[in-house]
Amino acid sequence: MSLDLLKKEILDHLLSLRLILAFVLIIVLLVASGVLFVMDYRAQVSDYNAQVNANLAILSKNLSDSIFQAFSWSRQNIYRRPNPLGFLSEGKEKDLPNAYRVSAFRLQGPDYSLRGNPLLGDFDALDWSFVVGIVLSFVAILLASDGVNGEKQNGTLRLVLSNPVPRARVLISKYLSTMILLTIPLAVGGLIGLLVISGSGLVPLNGQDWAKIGLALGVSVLYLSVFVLLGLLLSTILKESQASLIVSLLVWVTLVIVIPSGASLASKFWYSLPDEDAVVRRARHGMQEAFDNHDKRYPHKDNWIVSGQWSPGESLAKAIAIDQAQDRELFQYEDSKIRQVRLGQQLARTSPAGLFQSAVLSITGSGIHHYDNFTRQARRYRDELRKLIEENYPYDRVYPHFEVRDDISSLKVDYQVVPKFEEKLMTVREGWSKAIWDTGLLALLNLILFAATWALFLRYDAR
Amino acid sequence: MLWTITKKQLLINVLSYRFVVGFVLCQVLFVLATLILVNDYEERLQAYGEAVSREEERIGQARVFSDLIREPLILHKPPAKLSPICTGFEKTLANEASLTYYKVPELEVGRQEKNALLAALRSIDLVTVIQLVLGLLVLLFAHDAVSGERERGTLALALSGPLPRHTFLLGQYLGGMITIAAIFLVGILLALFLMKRSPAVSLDHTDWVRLGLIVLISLVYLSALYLLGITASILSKRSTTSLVVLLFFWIVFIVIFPNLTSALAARLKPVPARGVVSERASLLRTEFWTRVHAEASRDLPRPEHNFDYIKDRRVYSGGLAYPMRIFYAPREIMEWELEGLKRFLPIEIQYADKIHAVHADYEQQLGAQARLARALARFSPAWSYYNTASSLAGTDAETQLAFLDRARRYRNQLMDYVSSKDGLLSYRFFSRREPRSFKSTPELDLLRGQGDRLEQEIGQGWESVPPLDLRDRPPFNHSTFRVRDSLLNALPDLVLLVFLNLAFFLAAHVCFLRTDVRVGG
Repeated sequence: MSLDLLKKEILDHLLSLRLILAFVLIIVLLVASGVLFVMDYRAQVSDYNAQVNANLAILSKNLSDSIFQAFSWSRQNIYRRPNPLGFLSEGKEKDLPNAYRVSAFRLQGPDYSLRGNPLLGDFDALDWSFVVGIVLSFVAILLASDGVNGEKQNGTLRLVLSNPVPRARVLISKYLSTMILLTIPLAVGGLIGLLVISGSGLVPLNGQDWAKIGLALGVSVLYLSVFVLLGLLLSTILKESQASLIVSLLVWVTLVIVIPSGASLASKFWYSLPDEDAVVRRARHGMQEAFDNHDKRYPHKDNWIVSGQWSPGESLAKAIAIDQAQDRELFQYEDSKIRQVRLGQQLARTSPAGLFQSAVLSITGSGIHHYDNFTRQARRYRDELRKLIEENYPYDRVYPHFEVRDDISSLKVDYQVVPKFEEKLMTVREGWSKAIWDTGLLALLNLILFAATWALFLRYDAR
Repeated sequence: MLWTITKKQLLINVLSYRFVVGFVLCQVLFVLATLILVNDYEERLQAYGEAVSREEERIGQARVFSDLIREPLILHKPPAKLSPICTGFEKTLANEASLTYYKVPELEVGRQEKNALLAALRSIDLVTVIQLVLGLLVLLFAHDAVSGERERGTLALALSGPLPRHTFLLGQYLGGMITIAAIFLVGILLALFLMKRSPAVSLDHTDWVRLGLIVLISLVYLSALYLLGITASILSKRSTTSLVVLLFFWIVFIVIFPNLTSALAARLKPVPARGVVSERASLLRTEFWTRVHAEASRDLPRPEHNFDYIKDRRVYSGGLAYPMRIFYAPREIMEWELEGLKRFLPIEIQYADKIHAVHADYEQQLGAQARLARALARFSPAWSYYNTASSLAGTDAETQLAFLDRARRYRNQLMDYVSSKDGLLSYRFFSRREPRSFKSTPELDLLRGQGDRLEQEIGQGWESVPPLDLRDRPPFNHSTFRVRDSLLNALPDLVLLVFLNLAFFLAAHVCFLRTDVRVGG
């Protein structure tokens, strides 16, 4: 019996204009997003490779000079890796910085070296999270919003309910049929898109990536289900199908378009950054303090010689202490910027669209997560370089050695020994641990909406 | 008769569900958005004020001309007063330009706000609310303007009398537009009221003119959508069909379209990566230094000198005659430094132009890509509307680029000013002492034996010298953008919107004349 019901619901929808339009639109968009991504990714990878190689060439040249040339006087350029899962969620990575200049002592930047064009408007990429988050959720609410009262108006609801079927089953078959119909274009379009992407041979997707894709798909289904249930709920509450359609569209535009955009602006309301001048002042003060402390603890006749950058003959420990003191302040400041963005995303989570986007962003490790990940690894890399120098410095680190500075200035490290920076993308586990709350909330929202719809539908007057 | 139809349609609309929900929703959105946006504007204005006074203070401390023109001088652009209404490029393009004699201000990314990472988030302004939410609401009102009447049977009834069809159509249009305009105008008045309450917002009469034009353009945009809705409503047999078609139009042309056009423009007119451009620029910079070093080490050896006779000397490097600030040095050193300055500074200015040429070429490519995107976006009335509004609000890309152009011209003015003060290729660039009073090393050796004569000769240091009087330097002119220019920039989009209105009205009229008014017809 319930299979019959399901079949009837699906057939009802299949004949409608909106479903045909939706199918075409979604499949075209998903395929287009795959094609656009491949073109984009190709350019990104070739830029990335060229830039990384250029940096390594300079590093190797500097290393043949001295460790000072390689690790203190000049900086390496290190780059964020292009995200192979950008087609799921691009996260505006194009507009985020993607490079640092790093020596063993300092981390400068962040810099921009991508192809982004500031003269183009500030638009989302056409990725999976956009297509599902905006277009599919729109279709979902469009399909579901006259599910109950539409049938009442046709008179078919009375007919169905006059049979010996439990109301719950009627409701569930309505819900399931819409979900099935939504998943079809998602699956077809997504599959073709994925075929385009993996067929290009450009994006080698490994097990981790497939797991991420699977998780993103799961979250997408949960998210769409929220809108289907919302549509059904409104269609149960309101008598006329026109009214429920209009109300649900206005609810949708608020939840999906307005709240996520407004919430991010509001983050500046709640969390203002510390004063930049004060940060710079504190950093300078910290450096001076570290400098004085070192001289006090380790008095030496040559302590006065300072070049500003660790140079032959100068104390290594002092150079490190000074830069560490500066970093403490500057890193904190940079972290507070990331926190402000995160807060904006958190405020957007008052809407299911915000929850969804945040979950997909976490799962794929894109956008601000990617930037954060890159920044952390860049800092770690700076520490690695520092360790490398400490290990390869044959003199006492605490005191200056001006008398032997000519010997020191020819110190070298082998190119092979030097760690090379390569960003490791976030793992599924890391991403999932961030996304679990969003997913849980989406699931909870589903339950609540389902319970509400059910409760109302049980008492529904079908006449 | 027209008024009767208009009144009828108005009543139908006002008494409907969608009016109540739409009205409440729009007002809530307008109020919340304005509160957030005005707060954001206040913050930006405060940051601007702080930055300007910091810069003034820095310039006020200039002791030599190199402080003015070698240290980066930063010009700030005040936040556009109407940016809460339409943010446009206000935050995506830099709001400051830094210049020195060796660097022309360039188009930068990611410096627009204190936190450049906020680029990761979406943003909203009032025009977006109008464009998207009111745009949707208009279609919701228009979709059954004719088909609904046909379904209810009232269309045949209304037209059975001596009522001309065009009067009926016009009445329907006016009735709908008055409803929409009421929602919109109440919203914008609420927004303006909230804006005026903030002490930071002060609007002068040109701002009011601009605002008035933005309101007008918004109505033109909404009217184009309404007419499109009516056309669809006439053509479809059932109002649900017209609704579905219109909703798909909305999501494709208003929501998805801009993302698609910028993606397309980026493919059709690709630009090089920014990193490649900075690499090219830094190669030129290296070339410059190689040249300087070659010419310096060839025939400009540093004279013998005694470090005791030199005070507060800040230079590029010890062995190079390229001074920034020298408080005291013996005559030979001063002459040597000046000779170096005269040789190297013109080369550096020449390389500044070369580096600028690289950036200008890149900027030109970015501009071409953006123009293409904008041309493609004209297929959607929503983006013609947005572009017009941002031109009028002074937040479009052209206005931002004009700021950059003014900053570039200002750099030339400033260099001319410094030249006119004889501060560029002379001692005044790096020193405050008169050349007549320079003493050679042997003279200083003599002074050394005479108590504190040497200390007196050398002096206390920069703190003891009064700052330069730079009050007569050319002022930087912030706002030269006029309403006329904004309108000219927006002209193609504006014409398109008006044309769309006419075209849709004509289409609606023609279709309506031929339509079957009977139920199910």
